Amino acid sequence: MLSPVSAIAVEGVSKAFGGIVAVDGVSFTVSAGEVVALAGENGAGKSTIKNIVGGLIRPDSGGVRFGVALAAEGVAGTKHSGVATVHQETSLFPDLTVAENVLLGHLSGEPGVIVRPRRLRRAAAPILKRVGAGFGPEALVRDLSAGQRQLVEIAKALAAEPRAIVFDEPTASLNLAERELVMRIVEQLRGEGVAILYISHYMEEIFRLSQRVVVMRDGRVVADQPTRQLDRGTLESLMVGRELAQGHPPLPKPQSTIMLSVRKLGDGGRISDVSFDIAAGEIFGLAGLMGSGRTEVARAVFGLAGKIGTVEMAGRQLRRGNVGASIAAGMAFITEDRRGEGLFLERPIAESLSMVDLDSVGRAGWLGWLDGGAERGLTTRLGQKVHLVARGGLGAQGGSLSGGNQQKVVIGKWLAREPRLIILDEPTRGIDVGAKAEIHRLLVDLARAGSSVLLISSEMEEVLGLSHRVGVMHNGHLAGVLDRSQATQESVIRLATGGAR
Amino acid sequence: MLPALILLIVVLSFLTDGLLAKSNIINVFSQSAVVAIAAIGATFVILTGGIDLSVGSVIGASGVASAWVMSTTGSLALGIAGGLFAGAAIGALVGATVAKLKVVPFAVTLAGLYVVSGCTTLLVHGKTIGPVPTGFIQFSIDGPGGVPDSVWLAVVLYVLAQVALTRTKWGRRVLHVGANVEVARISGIRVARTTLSVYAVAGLFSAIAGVVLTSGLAGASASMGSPLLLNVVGAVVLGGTSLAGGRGSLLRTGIGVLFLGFLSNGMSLLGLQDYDQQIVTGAFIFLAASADGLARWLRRRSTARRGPSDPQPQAAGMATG
Repeated sequence: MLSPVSAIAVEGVSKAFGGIVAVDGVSFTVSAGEVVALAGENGAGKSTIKNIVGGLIRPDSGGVRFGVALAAEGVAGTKHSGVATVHQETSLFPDLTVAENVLLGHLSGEPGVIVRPRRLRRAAAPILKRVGAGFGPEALVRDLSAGQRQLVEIAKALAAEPRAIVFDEPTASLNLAERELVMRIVEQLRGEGVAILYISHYMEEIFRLSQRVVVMRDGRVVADQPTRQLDRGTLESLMVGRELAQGHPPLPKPQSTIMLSVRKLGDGGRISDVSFDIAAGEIFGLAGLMGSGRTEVARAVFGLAGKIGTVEMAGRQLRRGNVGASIAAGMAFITEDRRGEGLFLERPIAESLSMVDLDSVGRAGWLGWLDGGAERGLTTRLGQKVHLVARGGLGAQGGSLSGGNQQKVVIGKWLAREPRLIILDEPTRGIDVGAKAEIHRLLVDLARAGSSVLLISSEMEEVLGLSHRVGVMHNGHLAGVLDRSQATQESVIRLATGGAR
Repeated sequence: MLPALILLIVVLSFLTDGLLAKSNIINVFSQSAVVAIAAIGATFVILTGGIDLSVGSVIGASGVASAWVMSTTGSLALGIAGGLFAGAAIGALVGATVAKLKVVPFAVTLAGLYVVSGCTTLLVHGKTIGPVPTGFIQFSIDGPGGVPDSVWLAVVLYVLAQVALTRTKWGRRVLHVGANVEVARISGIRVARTTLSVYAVAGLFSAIAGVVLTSGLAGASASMGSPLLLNVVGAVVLGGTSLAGGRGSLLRTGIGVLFLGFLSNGMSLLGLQDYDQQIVTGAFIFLAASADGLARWLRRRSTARRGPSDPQPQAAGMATG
């Protein structure tokens, strides 16, 4: 029964994709002026619920009610019912202006067929002001940072003047200041009486913003409780379904030999004059604000960009700008863009796993005959090593995996060659707590075995908890390197924002 | 696509007399051999996400090269070698432009289409080059079991190419460059080298097709391959290899070639005019290309009528408004 203040009521929703049950009999409500956090591991069914509430897919049974009426079907239907969705990956048109993007869904309300840019700008300006955007409606989306784009995405949702908003990981790609801004907007909207369904992997956000937490596991609701009755450990074990070991695994002691030596590295653009060493068995964290050049350093070290400066692996200088040479010298590179650069979404999982070490299962030579049995052995072994859960087997397409399992494939493919230096760029972004803990343990195990690790992460806790030393980037330069004992949230932020150490 | 081919053959065999006569089947196969061989190279190129518009011109150029060497030296072997070398060299040049200079394949091969064809015409003053040895002509006329050697050659090349695609590292690299070039690059695949090799291989297969066509025509002219381009690309698309790259196979292309071959033969037996044949062929390519989209649309319509039981997930990017 729908209470009079409920703005969203999910009622007994079930949905299966090709025989695999994604959500099963899910019911919960979100009231006006309330933030309900939807928590759960990847693959728990959160995205399916989000898409059903957002009108992108129809449930097999059950339904969603908005206000009092059962929502009309389809995206257009949910818009009229007053629900908007803020997506994790921004779905903006880079070559259109901010105003055009924000008002895209409302152009049909314009009289006639002609779109008048000036009117659009005037209409968009107050919405942008509401989200605290520091840029104007005439700016091109192409020129905005990831954080600014997320604000445009929120403005776009607000343009419909929704009574309910679904936020899907709105801060996943934002830095600390931008994240704070987004959270303030959520709080403000809650104060205005908007009903908010908030999906996030970040515990701090869940505890700060939400009044109630709905926890999903294996497609079902396993808990629906007021947030203040929960603590972090309880919530995590509800999500995973078992007790999680708290904190990070203990770090092994690094060896004395230098594995990677970087001198005066630059890419002729964003970064310059970056120098640091990583010892064998050491985990070196690289922190910094969004756009400070962390990713560029990682890509330049791996040979994907830039030819300024030198990179040495175990004392041997690498040919710059040559990925093949880097891989041959024992480097592995786990990209931050796993769907775009990490694995093949439309080819069998096994092919993504075996591609880095295809030489070990094929004969030498230009054509290189492949040994099918050996390849199956390799991919099975790698899948087990990273605890890959592929319900459809390794022959299924990469795109069928959940985010966490896709990431395991991206990491697993490099383990075939037993790399001596593993570069990871945001390895746990958008990944559930269970998979995250597994990846952390894997990194520590690799370090214990003598591999070096270069870890980039926007999550402060991850960098501080896992790194022997933390390098902090500011404005394309390495602003400083902190020992484990010196590295605190405050000292890192001070360096990252241009302060002295 | 195989069910469609079988259905086509069954339907045509009822409509016409003698479609399934042994002589007619051999006829279809031998008429398809040249397109079939060139389509192997085109399939590899399309699998990488590229396109090769110079197929017809390279067929002409390599045919002319082989006929010229044969008639001047009198040596069959040298002639064939000359033709194959010419095709592979042009292909490698096109591949180098695409791979190293990063020019889009459509533009490079469109330029190749004109330049190669023009140069060949210029070199031979627009004449047909011949004569070629009688044994060479026999290659397209007769062979084991009454089936021309050219057909056997095409069959063997299909088996070899399919094995190379699915069972070798090279084939895997071709598929991976087409599936997602960034994933391939970051994982250490030498993308430029793979791309170059694919265009060189395509040039080689166009050249083999050119030599076979020369044997069939008992001579070679610069323009003899030009009409074949659309059949070659059409066969690959009909077979279901994705123009976006990364998905497809030579078995599919083989079926596409046979589909076009039987369709054209059947329509001739029915006495259809050229323009009728064009309309029908175009309709089938349209159907094949839009099969996926049509099936989705029909499913959506039927569920809309039945009620919400089999919804269609859409791209998340369309969600907000």
